[in-house]
Amino acid sequence: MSVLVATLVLFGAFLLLLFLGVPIAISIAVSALATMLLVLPYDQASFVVMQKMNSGIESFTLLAVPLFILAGNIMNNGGIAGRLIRFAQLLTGRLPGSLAQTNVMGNMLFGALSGSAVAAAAAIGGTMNKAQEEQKYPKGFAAAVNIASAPTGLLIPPTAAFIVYSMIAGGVSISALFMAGVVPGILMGLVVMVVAFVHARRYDLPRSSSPSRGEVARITLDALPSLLLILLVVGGIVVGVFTATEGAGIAVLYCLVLSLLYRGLTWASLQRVLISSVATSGIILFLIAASSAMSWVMAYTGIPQAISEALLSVSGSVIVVFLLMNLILLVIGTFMDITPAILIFTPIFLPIVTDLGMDPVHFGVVLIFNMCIGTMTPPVGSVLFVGVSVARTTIEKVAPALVPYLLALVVLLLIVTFVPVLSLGLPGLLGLL
Amino acid sequence: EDSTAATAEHPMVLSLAHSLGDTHPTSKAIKEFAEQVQEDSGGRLTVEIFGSGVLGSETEVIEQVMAGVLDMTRVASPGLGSYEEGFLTFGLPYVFEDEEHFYAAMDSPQMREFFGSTQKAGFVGLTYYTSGARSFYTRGTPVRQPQDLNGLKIRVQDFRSQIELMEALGGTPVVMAFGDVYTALQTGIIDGAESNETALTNSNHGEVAKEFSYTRHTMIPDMLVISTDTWQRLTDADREVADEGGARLDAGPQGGLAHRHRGVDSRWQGDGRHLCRGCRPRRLPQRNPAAGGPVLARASAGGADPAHHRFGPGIGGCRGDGIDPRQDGDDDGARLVGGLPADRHGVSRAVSGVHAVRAR
Amino acid sequence: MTRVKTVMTTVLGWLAAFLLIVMAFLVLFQVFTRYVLDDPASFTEELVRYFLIWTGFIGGAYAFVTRQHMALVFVRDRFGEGPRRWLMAFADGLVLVFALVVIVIGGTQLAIGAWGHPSPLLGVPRGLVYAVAPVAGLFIVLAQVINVWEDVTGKRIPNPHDETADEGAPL
Ligand code: NA
Ligand code: NA
Repeated sequence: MSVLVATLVLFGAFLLLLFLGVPIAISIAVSALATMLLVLPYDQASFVVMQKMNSGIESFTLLAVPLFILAGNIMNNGGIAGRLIRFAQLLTGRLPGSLAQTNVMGNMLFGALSGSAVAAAAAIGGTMNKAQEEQKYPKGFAAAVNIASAPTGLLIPPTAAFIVYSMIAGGVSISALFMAGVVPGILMGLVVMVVAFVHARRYDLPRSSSPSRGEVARITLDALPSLLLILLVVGGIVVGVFTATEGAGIAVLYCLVLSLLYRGLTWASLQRVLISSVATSGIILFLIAASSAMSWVMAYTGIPQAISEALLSVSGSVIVVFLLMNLILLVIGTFMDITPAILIFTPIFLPIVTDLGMDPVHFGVVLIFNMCIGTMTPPVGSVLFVGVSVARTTIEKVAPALVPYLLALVVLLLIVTFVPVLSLGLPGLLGLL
Repeated sequence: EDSTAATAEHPMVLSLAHSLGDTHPTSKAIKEFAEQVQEDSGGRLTVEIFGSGVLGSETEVIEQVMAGVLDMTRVASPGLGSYEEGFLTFGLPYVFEDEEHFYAAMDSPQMREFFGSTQKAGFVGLTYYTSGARSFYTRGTPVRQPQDLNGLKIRVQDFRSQIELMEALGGTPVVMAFGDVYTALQTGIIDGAESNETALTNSNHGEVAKEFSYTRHTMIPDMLVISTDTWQRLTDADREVADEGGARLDAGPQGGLAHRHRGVDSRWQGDGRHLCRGCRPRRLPQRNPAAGGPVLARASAGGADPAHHRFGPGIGGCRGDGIDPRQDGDDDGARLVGGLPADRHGVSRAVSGVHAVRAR
Repeated sequence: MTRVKTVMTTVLGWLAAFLLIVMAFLVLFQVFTRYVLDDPASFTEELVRYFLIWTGFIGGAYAFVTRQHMALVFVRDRFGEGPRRWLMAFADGLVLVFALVVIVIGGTQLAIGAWGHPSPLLGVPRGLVYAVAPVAGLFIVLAQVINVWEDVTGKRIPNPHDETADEGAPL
């Protein structure tokens, strides 16, 4: 049985099931099982699938993901978003189109805290929408800015996406990944702000009035506990006072206490938060379980090496291979969500890029950056969908407005890919590499 | 199909998985094993190696071997203890008096018989590998005697036997993945760990651990095992090939791995500069009663629950220290660290391997 | 059938929520024992790992009952009402077959095979750890029977957590 046959069966079955609308986790598991059956008898294949589905999620580190999801959901309901928006307005209110700039800054702060692009797009974009309508912001523009900046929180720590990557990549340091995401994440926000600035001048959108000194102090003080959480959790993990999982546990406790103090959380909303966290965790854990069966069969049949050889036969040039890889990941990102994409493509691309001298931490940033862009693109983009729905408009109206942001972000992606110091500088400085 | 059908054109392919990186000495030895088998069988048997844990953790891979999915694997021997208790014996402190005793015992016919006796559990032991004795290394406190471990948080492998061992010695066991040890040492989540010298060099723990104390409290071999399924499909001649392929590599001073490892080991001992950047190796006399004696005394007197922390009769390593548990006068002593009964079939076989050499 | 769905939604959802809360407590307890008691608990790590497996399978089953698993539906949505129903029935039927043949049957075999193997730290049988998967698999099978029926008839049985469903957006 050749590698080629295995590759064709694995990806052929996977793509077929995927486009037929079979749940992604089941598409992954069934195509993995089909590929195993080429080389193993049924009882052994089902043994491996079940063993890997169990062991794939048997990880203390992985618990950080459900805990960060829980913390983010508590935050969503706990009156933290409004405080962050007022604080963001302090920082960006003097710019033309200040509401759009506030939206970007709000997404960066909220996304940093919650680690969820979708939650940021909904919470910040949803809250900003009414004011933007009142000030006659073009709908497509307002939604595009919200959508393009919502994924910054996937790069700015803490972020569950890096934890999933760290696990799949065989234990790449989470502290290093967290620090590596800081600069690219902030740059992503800045790029969106610059493009929005140009647009706002063209549309001649208004600035906000400057707040009084008393207001500045009050708003800052009000947002301080929320901002402190980032410092506490990320700082604690990076300095090594606690592990990522423990940091996530502390984040849950902190958000819970804060939300209770703000009276943003009722018993009924807490129940909703718990159940919705369980659903999200179940979806992600089940996906990871299924993917570990897939990566077993990929390793067993030698698929990553075969793809690596094929890629390198196109060109031995590092630049060409990295460009090709980004292209593939961008295409994948158009239709696949971030978690399954990390799960499926890390085992394939990581060995290739490390062979070519890319640091696994750097690759993690490049991979997540690609997927950030993927969440904004049709036909399938979770941030796109949420951003469009909170702006009460349609994908057709938003898509053209989104194009300049996407182009700018792709340029930034290439810069992040080919200038490793943007990712590795900060963790290197802190001695984490 | 069995191996009679195998030819040089259509060889029988044996899969072998392990979790070590390419540069690890044992990883290289496994490659040599594969070449040896191919050569000795005239190309009728080939070994396909899956390294770096791509097929799973040691526990997963041994389960895959027992299910017949994979043919062979290399695992740390206490990991086999869940399926054959005899392997827990090797996790006990000071079972081996010194390296001479270790190699003599591991190469003895009795030990070979033990390795071959586990067919029912789903695997057969082909050979063992060693990376040398395990010692304590800490952020700052040298470990000259067990009391020095008091209040120190020491990372141990996640085997119950190793946790109980650490408790018996007076330290506080902390279970964590090996990959987290560097950061944990750096930040003081743990005060130390225990492993062989490769942890300092290959894994760079020497950058954050400043003291390496040659306590040499355990010498835990790795095992190369083959699935019972596969073993039964090999002809007698091919079994010989597989067995010899392994055996030749570890067979005593004149050949192979054991010798090489011993060489590496003594270089480390002889020259502290090889250990790590800035780490001070503490050379303790190997049989120093101050080091070994009290360790055994604590272990055999049994920490929190005396009935469960005994050295059984016949397991020694304490000879000459004046603390022979056999003279303890307590019949309740027939249990080992890890709740391991000394009178079970597998244990007594493993012990007889250790003991036979001692009697010589 | 409405009753069955309501019971499954409630039981699976709260069971997984309970596990999540317990794991959060265990993690905080671990920090507490390390810094306050200066005597780190060694059992939390292994326990959390097992509970996470259980959360994954029970939460995964919950997401099947409430139809929240990620899927690509934009191709399917281009078809007319009739073919779309059959595509949905096919997808849900495939989940049913996988759950029955692999998760329930294969999972039971895995659990039975590992029953005699104690876990390294706590000494609980590995089979017990693995046993949750086939149990969750039974729930998935039941859920998918209802889902296929819904697909074919075009009816939709409500579940008590319908209003939270849209919040379950990953990352
Ligand atoms: Na974040
Ligand atoms: Na997309």
